[in-house]
Amino acid sequence: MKKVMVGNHAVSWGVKLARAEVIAAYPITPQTQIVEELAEMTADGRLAARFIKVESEHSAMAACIGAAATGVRAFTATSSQGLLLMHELLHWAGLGRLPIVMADINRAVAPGWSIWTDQNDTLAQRDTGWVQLYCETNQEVLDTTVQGFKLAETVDLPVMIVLDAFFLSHTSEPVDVPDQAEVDAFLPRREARLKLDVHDPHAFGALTTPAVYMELRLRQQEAFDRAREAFAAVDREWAERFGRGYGALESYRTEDAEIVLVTSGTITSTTRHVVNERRARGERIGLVKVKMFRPFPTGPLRDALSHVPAVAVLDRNISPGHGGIFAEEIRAALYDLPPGRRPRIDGYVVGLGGRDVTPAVIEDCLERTRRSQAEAAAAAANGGAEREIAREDIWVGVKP
Amino acid sequence: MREMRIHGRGGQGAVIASKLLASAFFLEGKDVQSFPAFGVERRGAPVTAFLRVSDGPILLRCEILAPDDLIVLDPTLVQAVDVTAGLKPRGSILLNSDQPPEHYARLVRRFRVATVDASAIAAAHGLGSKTQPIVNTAILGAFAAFSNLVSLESVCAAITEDVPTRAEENVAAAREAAGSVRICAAAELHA
Amino acid sequence: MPDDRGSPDLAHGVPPVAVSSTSTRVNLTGSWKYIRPVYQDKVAPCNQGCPVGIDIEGYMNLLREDRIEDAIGLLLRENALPAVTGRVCYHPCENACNRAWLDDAVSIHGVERMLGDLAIEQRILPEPETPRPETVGIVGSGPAGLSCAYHLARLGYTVTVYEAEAEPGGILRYGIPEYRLPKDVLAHEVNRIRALGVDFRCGVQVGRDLPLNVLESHDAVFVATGARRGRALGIEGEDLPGVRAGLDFLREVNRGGRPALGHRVVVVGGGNTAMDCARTALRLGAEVLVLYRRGREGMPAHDEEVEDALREGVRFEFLAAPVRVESTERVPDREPLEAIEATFDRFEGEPPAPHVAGLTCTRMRLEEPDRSGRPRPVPVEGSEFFVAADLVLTALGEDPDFDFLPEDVERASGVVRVNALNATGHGALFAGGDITDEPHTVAFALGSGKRAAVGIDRYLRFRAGEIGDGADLSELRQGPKGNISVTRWVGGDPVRRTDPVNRVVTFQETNPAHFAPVARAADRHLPPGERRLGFREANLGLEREQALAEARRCFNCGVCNECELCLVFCPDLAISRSAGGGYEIAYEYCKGCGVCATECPRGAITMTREGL
Repeated sequence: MKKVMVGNHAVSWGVKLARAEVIAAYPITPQTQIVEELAEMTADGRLAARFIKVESEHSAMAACIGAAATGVRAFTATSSQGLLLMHELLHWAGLGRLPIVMADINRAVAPGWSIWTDQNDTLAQRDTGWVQLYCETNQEVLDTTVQGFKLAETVDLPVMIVLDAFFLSHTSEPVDVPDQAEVDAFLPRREARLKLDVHDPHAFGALTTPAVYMELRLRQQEAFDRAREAFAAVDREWAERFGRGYGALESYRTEDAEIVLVTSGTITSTTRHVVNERRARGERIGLVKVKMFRPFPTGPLRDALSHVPAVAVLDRNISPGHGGIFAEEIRAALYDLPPGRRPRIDGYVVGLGGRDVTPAVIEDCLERTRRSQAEAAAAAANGGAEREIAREDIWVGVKP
Repeated sequence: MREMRIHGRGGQGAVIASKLLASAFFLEGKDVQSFPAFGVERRGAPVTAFLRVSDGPILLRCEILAPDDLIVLDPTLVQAVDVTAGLKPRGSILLNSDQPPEHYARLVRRFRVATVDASAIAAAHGLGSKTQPIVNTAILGAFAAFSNLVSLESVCAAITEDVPTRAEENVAAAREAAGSVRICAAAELHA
Repeated sequence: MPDDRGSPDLAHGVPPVAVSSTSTRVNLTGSWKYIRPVYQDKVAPCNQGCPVGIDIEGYMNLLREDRIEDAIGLLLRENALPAVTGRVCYHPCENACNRAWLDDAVSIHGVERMLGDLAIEQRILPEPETPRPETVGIVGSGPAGLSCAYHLARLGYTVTVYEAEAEPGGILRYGIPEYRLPKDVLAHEVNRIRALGVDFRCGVQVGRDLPLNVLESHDAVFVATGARRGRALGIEGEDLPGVRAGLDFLREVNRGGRPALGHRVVVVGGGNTAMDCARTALRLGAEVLVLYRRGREGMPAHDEEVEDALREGVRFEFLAAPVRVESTERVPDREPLEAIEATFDRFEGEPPAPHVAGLTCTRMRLEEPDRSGRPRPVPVEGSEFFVAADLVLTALGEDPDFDFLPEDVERASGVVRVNALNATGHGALFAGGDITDEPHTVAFALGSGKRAAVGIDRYLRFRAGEIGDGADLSELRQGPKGNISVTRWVGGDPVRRTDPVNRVVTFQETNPAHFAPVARAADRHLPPGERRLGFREANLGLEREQALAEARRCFNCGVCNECELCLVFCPDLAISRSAGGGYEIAYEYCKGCGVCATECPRGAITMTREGL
């Protein structure tokens, strides 16, 4: 059944199809529609869940942690400042290995007060032990939400579904809503083998001495390692059942590409448009979309980008004092490729605080990389020094 | 691909209009994308909503700066804001107004203009209040008749499906508006 | 795909999460405690505050469980006349209610009235105990006599009540006006007592119509002849025919008389009898002025009575006292009280030939408190003024009348001296109500009758109950200061209680955080305009649903009603439901943190010293 719906409701429908059992959330723009819809679904009986009203995002996550620890399927949604307020408890969920699914609407952080999109809220949670999956379309939002529960429960890790404020959250577009019975077959009821049980009480999260803490961290790291393959399997099964798959990474028209643009979130769609236009003119331009940020898809990135002469990474985020976060991580992932296979990587910081990323902005990035690549190639041809990777990311579409 | 912009005032239903129109196009097999102006809304303040329609997949996910078509839910907005900003040459403008399109001489010179008294029609069908009629469904009926981009039947089907209350009155208003839209003679010339 | 879920057994390496390798059951945290919680039911303050000694909290608890019949049963165990007290008692229970600290006291009288009316409607008759061979004579059928008769009959005795008036009820029948207590309500409740086998002999006054020694045919006697002697004004002109004792006036109206009053009635006094006189005179068509020597706040009448009188149009002149009744023969040459005269002028109609012209009064001022602790009113020199009146009703208080009793019955300060169970010490003679030393209210009278019934039962069974008897009655009381509970005397409490102690729960021991403020239901009333037209009941009480909602507002102070909060809040999961109802505490895990006792909304958990 196809329906025209906003991205927020695509999340709600995903949660409903996944039959979440506990939903605890606190409202915040631009997320509120998600839980409003879920509250209605819960109230009118379409979703057999317990909806817990809480007084803050911190409490929302605490409620989800408690619920997930008892073995039920728990969901919450938040954005920006709300996510930041949750930070401490994100670690509890992460190291507690609780398969909570949370939707975060990427919204810039204050001050100045902003309700518009960028990725700094979620990227600030990079090290909390959550899987992070970024979405490009409302369809992908719904699909990833359901997939997220299966992935989470397979590897016992919490999963964050990430979508751009307004460009997805408040934009209506057609979404194919899968049949409930088919989703049930894909995602059976959660079977938690390690959970709080009053009849067999164990202490969870109690004092952990130096003798074991490091091993716990290792177990978590191993789980993240397995999450890569687990997501591939979940995504494969989804594609078999529903005809749509996404992959941790997607290569779009990268065959024989001279320059590959790397994007995440909704910038990807507009970049596809630019790539199509360039390809129509015979230019060898491609695109790599990064969907999974944690665990970082190092292997697929190396496969996709080695042999590409130049890469332009568009970051809708900034690590102050360093640069675009995706660019930095991609450079690190590709650093030890042999020199001949290691691309030149330019980083561009765009679209912060909801600044529009138009085809013109993307083309600006593309042309800058084309020029720097040409200069580097000329230098190499003249027997110059080994080319250097750009040290500083360039801000594009910004007033000086 | 065609891009459209709807102007209204907070509370008039501009955002709903963009969603309904998206649904109507979707029913005809088009890919659609509709969104409000991203920001904070207040009752009475000027608001805009947007719509992209395409035969193939829509890839652009950025704002609409140069629309092909405009729908204006409140005639007073013509004085309040530059509704034609970025409108493509010979773009279309559908105004909710009790005046004939020729009344808007400056617009008629540059664009294809049509008017419909959606306020009176909505009020007659009991939509909203006499002083604040909800005009969005009526004007969509007029848009179907004026633009020839989407059928009146699809607009009515979208209303029936998506409007939670008083769907019948809304459909009736859309049909009446479709029959009473006034298109500037020059507009037909341009077309 | 490998899976790292599963057993937390360390033998298989470090588990995926920080989870204890063994069950935490081995950790007997109970060894850490030095105080322990125990479930210990207590007494609600309303119970102790009730002069009748009703288990209010108990019937509220039963209502909460929708056990309406059991609630009526429990009420009838302690109170002979719930439909009466639900109407006329000034509900000291509500003054004691802990809920008042949160929002407003529970409308206990409203609930009681609803239950009392239901008991009448459903003709509920309490089961008497095994019959006893002894007979008891009761002199006076006011609230004390009726109460004593009812409880003795329930305890199995053969009871005869001697009543001077034509019908039983005493003050309830001949004092309290119809609009406060409809006669049929009283009749129904008296009939319930009759149905228990009590023999009423009306129209006979012991000592006048019947020799005192008729009482010797009984194994025990209870005397409760009440306070019927109105106090005199003690001023000139008091003997004029236009001056009447208020009680006498009320008695006439309650017998069905409709005395001609003239237009202007002045009531002297500020007690409940004064209010009854004023509101009755109003209903008979008079304009009424109450003269009271102290201020509004000094009035002994119950607030609700004063409010109702004001609403119905009774006028008050405070800090004023009569100094002389003026006859029509001698109208004083003095400026009349302007405001009042103006009102009376508007009244059209023909008065009967009056004998009094009015009262010459003096202004009063308040000085240092007297022995009763209230400010002492003293006349203001030269402040005399005149109040016109066709009839003066005096309501200055009443004195008991027990001259017929044997002289060796011990008296003190004008009342019969009795012990804690109302024995006079004169053989099997017991006394109660207004002839003993206690407040002149229906509730106290009912309480004394009940106490005497228990005293007589104990006397007849064990020959106990001499004056000064030191028998420890504390276990029979509703709280250390409360009245005797029949249920505690005979047993068979329908409310499940865990290790009850006779201590009253304070508001500090409750946990108001668990109660949302809910507005108290107000009694419904006839509009004041309609009230003046006749003697229809003015206060219509609560709707049944309102009364049941009031029962849900009850904190159930001191009695565990299995609300589950202790179980929910126990951080050690040491509390579990007990098979026989209630809860049990696994003391080997209870750390004695006290969270359960703190959270308990009603103070039913006590922390006690460990090992003591």
